[in-house]
Order: sequence, then C-alpha cells, then structure tokens
Amino acid sequence: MSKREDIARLRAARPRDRFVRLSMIAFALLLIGVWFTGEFAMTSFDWDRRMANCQRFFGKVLPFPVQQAVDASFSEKLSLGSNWFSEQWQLHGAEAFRYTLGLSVVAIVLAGLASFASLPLASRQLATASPYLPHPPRGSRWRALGWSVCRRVVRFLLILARSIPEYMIAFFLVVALGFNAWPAVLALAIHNTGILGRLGSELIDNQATSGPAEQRSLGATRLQIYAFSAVPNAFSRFLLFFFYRWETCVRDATVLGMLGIPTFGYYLLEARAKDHLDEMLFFVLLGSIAVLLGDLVSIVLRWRLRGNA
Amino acid sequence: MKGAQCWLGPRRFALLGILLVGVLSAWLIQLDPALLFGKAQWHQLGDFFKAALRPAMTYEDQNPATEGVFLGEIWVALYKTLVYTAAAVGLSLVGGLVFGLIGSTRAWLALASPAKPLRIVSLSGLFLVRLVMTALRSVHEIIWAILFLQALGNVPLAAVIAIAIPYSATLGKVFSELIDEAPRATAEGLRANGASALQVYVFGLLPTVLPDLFAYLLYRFECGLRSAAVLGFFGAPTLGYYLSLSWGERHFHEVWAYLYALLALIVVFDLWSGAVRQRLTTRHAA
Amino acid sequence: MSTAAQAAFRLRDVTVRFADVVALVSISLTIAPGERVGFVGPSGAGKTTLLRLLNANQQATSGEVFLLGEALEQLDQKGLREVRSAIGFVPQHYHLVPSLRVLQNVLLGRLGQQGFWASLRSVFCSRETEQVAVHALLERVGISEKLFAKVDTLSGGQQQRVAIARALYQAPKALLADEPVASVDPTRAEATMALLTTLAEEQNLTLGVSLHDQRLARAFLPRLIGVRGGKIFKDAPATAWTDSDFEELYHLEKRDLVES
Repeated sequence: MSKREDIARLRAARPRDRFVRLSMIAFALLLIGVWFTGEFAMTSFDWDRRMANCQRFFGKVLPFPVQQAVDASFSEKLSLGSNWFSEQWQLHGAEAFRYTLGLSVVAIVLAGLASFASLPLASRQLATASPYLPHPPRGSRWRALGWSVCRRVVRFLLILARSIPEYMIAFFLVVALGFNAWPAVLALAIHNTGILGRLGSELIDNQATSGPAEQRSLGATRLQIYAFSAVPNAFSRFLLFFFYRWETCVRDATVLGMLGIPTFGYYLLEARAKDHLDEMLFFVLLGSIAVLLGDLVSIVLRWRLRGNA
Repeated sequence: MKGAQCWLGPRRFALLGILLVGVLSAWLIQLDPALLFGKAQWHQLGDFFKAALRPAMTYEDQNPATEGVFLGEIWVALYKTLVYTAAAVGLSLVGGLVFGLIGSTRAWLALASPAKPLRIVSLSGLFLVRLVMTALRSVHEIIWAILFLQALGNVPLAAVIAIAIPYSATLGKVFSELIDEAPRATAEGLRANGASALQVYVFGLLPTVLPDLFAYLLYRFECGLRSAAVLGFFGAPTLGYYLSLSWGERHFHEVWAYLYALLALIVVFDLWSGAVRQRLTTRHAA
Repeated sequence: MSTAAQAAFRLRDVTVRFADVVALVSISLTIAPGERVGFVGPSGAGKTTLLRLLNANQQATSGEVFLLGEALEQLDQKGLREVRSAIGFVPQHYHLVPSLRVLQNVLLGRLGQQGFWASLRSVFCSRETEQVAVHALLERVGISEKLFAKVDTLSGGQQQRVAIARALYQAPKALLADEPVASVDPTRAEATMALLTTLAEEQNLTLGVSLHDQRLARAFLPRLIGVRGGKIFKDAPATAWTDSDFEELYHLEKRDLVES
C-alpha cells in the first residue's frame, strides 16, 4: 500500500502554522470552557421575584402622565406623552445632548492633535537616527540607541494609554478636576491618543519609502519629511480612523456622565435614584439617538472622504 | 474660489475645519482651561500618584489574619474579569455570526434574485435588520447592565449579556461587511458545481473571511476585557469591583496593584493577539 | 427517444439578453455525447455566456435548452443541482477557495451530490478512501505532491490543475473549460489542451472548450463552433475550417468595432 504511505508522508509534511493553530484552539477552549466554571450557575434563581421585578419595571417605563391616565383614549395618551417628552427635553435633555456631543468632539480633536505629535517619535520609519537613509552616518551609535529607546518608550506609552479603560481614567481624574467636562475630555483623549497613535504610525510605516528617501537625499530634514510627505500621504486614511473613533467617543461620553459629569449618564443615574424609570428610559433613548446621529455624520463624512481619496 | 484653493487645499481646509469645530465645541460646553491648572485640586491626587511607585503586595490595614491573601485576591479579580469577558465574547460570536449573515446584502439578494416584488420585501428586511443592529450597538454596555439590574435584579449573567448585546451587533456589522466584500467568484464557482446556498456560505465564504474574522474577534476580546473590568463598578464581580472598594477606603497602593494587574493582562493579550494577527494576514497576502 | 434526450447538449433558438445587451441571438446547436467541441471567436462574442448556459448557470431569455437530456426550464432546485453537478466546469480564473488546502478544494467538487452535514464531514474530516481518490486524480493531472498544500501558495498552472481535478471529482458526464489557455504560456497551453482531451477520451466525457488560439483549436478539437456577435458564425469539423475562415471570424469583428 505505497499509495497510503505516500498520502501519510504528504500529510506529515503539510505546511501549517503551529502558533496560529494553537492560538485558535486555546482561544476556542477559553470561550467554551468558561461556561463550565460554574461562574454563571443560577442555583438560587427565584423566578417569581424576578418576574414581579420585571413587571414592576415595565409598568413604570411609560411616561408618568400616561401611567396616570388609565382611562384616557389612545390619542389623549399620545398628546400627554408628547407633552411630557418636550418638557423633559427642555428640562435636561437638550443640555445633556449638547454636553455629550460637544465633549466628544473636544476629546477627539485633542486626541488627534496629540497622536499627530506622537507619530514622529513612534513610527518605525521616522523615529530612527537617520530616517529613510540607507547608511547611518558615522559615529552615530549613541544617537541610534537614543532614538530606538525613545521609539520604544513612546510606543509603550501608547499601548498603556489605550489599555486603561477610559472610564477608570475619568474615575480618577474627577477627584482632581471636579464635576466638569475636563475629566471626561481628558480620559477620552488619552485613550484615543493611544489608538490613533498606533493606527497612524502603522499608516506611515506602510507607506512606500522611495519618495521620502529621495527627498532625504536632497537634504530634507526629518520634520520636513514628516510634515510635507508622510502626513499628506496618510491624511485621508487617518481622517477615516479619526471619524470612526469619534463615533465611539460619543458612545463612551454618554456613560462617563455616571461619574457626575452632566452628560446622559448623569441624568440617567439621577432618574434611577428617584425611581423615575420613565425619565431613565428617556435618557437611554436620547443617548442612543445622539450616538446614531454621530454615526450618521461620521458615515457621511467618511463616505465623502472615500470619494475624494 | 480658485485663488482660495491655492493656499487652502482640501487637507488644510479639513484640518482648519476640525480645529474650528473643536474650539466651537469647547465653547459650547464652557470648557474652562483655568480649571486644569488649579493647584489645589491636583494636590488631591498627589497621594494617589505617589502610591504608583509602590503598588501594594498585602492589604494596607496590616491585619495579620489577612497576610498574603491580597495577591490571591488580585488573581481572583483577573480570573473573574477573564471569565466574564470570555463568556460575553463567546455569546457575541454566536450572535455576531447570525447578525453577520442576516445583515449582509448578499444573503438577502440571494434570497430574492429572480422576482422583483420579493426584492423590495427583502431590501426592507435588510434595512430592518441593520436598524436593529445599529440600535443595539448605540446603547453602551454599562447602560444595558443598569437596565438589566433594574429589570431583573442582580443576576450573574446580567453583566455578560449586557456586554454581549452591543458586541453582537458590532461583530455582526463587521462580519456582514466582510461577507459582502469577499470575492464573488469563489462562491459562483461552487454554485456551478451544484452547491446549495448554505454550502456556498460555509465552504465558499466563511473560509475566505475567517482570518479577518478571527483577527477582529481578538480585537473585540481586548475591548471586552476593558468593558468587563469597568462593569465591576456596577456590581459585577470583576476587577473594577475590587478596585472601587480599595479606592473607597483610600487604599491607593492597592488600587495601583489592581491597575497594574489589569494593564499587564491587557498588554499581554495585546502582544499575543498582535502576533497572531500578523501571521494571519501575512500568510494570506502571499 | 427524441434527439433531445440523446444529445449531451441541445439548444433550440436560444436568445440571452442582459439589461441592455443581447449576448446570444437565436442560437441552435446539438452536441452528441462524447463529442469534443471548441468554441472560437473574439472576446465579447458570447463564448462565456454560451458556456454558462451549457453549465446551467445562465437562464435563457427565450428558446429551449436541453442539458444531458433534461429541459432546463422544467428543472426544480434539486434537479438543477443534479444537472450542475453532472457537468464539470473549469472557470477561467479557477475560482478555488484560497484559504483551504488542495485536498479540500478537490473535495468541494462533490458538494452538489451531498447533503450539508455529509459535505461538512467530507471537507473537514476526509476519509482515507476520499484522500486516495483525490490523490489518484491529482496524480492524473500531475500535481499529486501538492495534496496537502494551501491553494494560495500554488502557481497559476498548478491552480488550474486543481480546478480540473475538482471538476473530475464530480464524476461528470461532461467537462466544460472556459478559456483554459488564455493566461498560460505556449508550452503550458499545449500541455493543458493535451490533458483535457486525453481525460475526455479516457473517461468518455463530452468536452466543451472556449479558446482564442486557432492552432491549438485545430490540433486538439475535432469540431469547432465559431461565435461572433452573439451568433454562430460557422459550425463545422476542424478540418473544414480554412485560414480565411479564421481571418474572417476575427477580421469582421474589427470592422464592426470601427462602425459602432
């Protein structure tokens, strides 16, 4: 049976990536395995109480005037409801809306600027002793070492910045800065600087090196190449990432209010504390609309960018 | 107009526009730069930052009974965070695959290609699915968690489901885009062999998008670690829970120990998933 | 038995119209089982549409299509799958699944004959008998060493052989190849044509090949059908085709282009 042996030989010699394969298996085992750890066992699950709780919840989510007017007709309920909505909007809704969106814009602009500043220090192409030149100049061993240390440190700082959840950063900063927009702005800006810095330096590192090498041999400095070659070439792709991150910023800004900053999250928790579930749901919906609005603006802008790119 | 374009190209225009909108927004929310530099407030965080250099190895109250228990507590916090993340991402993967299929233009068009009236029905079906996905995504996992707590009381699965809902929708969105952008030719080739629609999906489409799909799933898992940790502030038994307890007692060295542990977990995962991603993409670029 | 049932392929007055172009205009032709036919003509003449029609991958706007004795119009979903899987098809760009191995790609040839779970088992957990069968096919097309290679690491010529092996694994009654020599070098082209015709001869398959190269067409295929502007230009044994026929087939097209 030489044929079977032949197949067995080919099978044994088949190309495969053990690392990726093992990683996939380990990851799959993790996802499935956690269900057998007993963490989510619901032994003392009191269905009656849960159902009662649930019923209470859904009984209280309709606007309060509508709850009261049991015997009213549907159109009366509708007008009561819409009156209530416009009242809520004027009371805190508009304020929260403005604050959430404004805060997210400031945060992403700051993050964009900071990541722009970090790119010449973090890019593998730019942050070397002699960027884009084939031979390092003589006697530059210490400078080369310095640049490599600088690059690694900045890249590590970027990893750290994106690894800390923005909610935790804001949680700490509230103590120092008080209940205004700053803790949320800074938290979102720090987290997104890490992400945009990584994506931006990948963009620059993946660019063709021939153009900058030419300019460099003509005597262009590091910063000149960065500002007049690397950035313009990567700009439209970078803007795509920028707007995509802004979307997530709006989403995260809604909940940072739970730390006492007056975005949706703040009013949501306040309503919960008063047990006004109708108001609570109002702010959930309003926050969701703000996020959808951000999505929509970002989609339109990115679509226009793709057309121009 | 033409003269203006000489010095104001599209890039400078975009840059100026963004800066302008940024400044306008800062004015809109009355962002006061003076608040940043008030020395008194930063002083309050001084103790906290000083503790960064010496993260706690034991509980700060020096109780001999709890000697050495603290490090174990960190492991528990990390373990719970990991378990909650894995459960949530596992659920989202199932949800995301379903959403990805029913949210892809391709699946709905395949359903309706011959007859025109059916086409309108299927396009509105697609629109509806996408709308639901966007709506689920637009509510933050923390808000989902609060809603669940309010409606059901404290259930172990509440945090998991709270993360899984928006993540399913996000994964579904990305998966459906991958499916729609996958090369058509392969699927057509299988069609010509007589394959059924399900076989075309499983053998023609899934293998071609699987590397990208797995790479994105790893990224979502990293986000999941952060989300799960934060949900600890809202009652889940994950790292945020322990951290907020220590914070409340002003045990800043303990806070830093938890923080470093979380960072280590996420950075290690980031490095590992980065290596996997790189191998996955280079293998298929060849 | 009618002639329609006896013929491998039979078209009667078939027209195919896309949104704004007419790809084929009232084509009629009959191909007997075991016959080896070449479709020649300039690009855009309708050869590919014709092959798609013969592979049950294209609906006719009007006219009758009989494939392996079955009227295409009367087939339900299941019948359609059966006919498709009885006709092997080698697409011009091979259409392999890039992230799967050669073995799995060849096994995909049988999808039309298997239920979903059977195909899942077969592709991702193949039996030894299946491996032996695929190995034999690969040996036949000359790339048995590549049994477990990833498809995206193979050269173009090797990928073409995988596509041929996949079509053969269907155990088809007919084999269709769309421009198999359009994107390979001359020596390779000859080898490919030789392979297709010997395979058809050995297994008594009806063979349909579309191609540009008149020398190869005459050398390997006994019957040639010239297609131009969606119509049949000439349908005759290869020996009856003269050089001036070929010149006219391609030349006329040039004049048409100038006029339009």
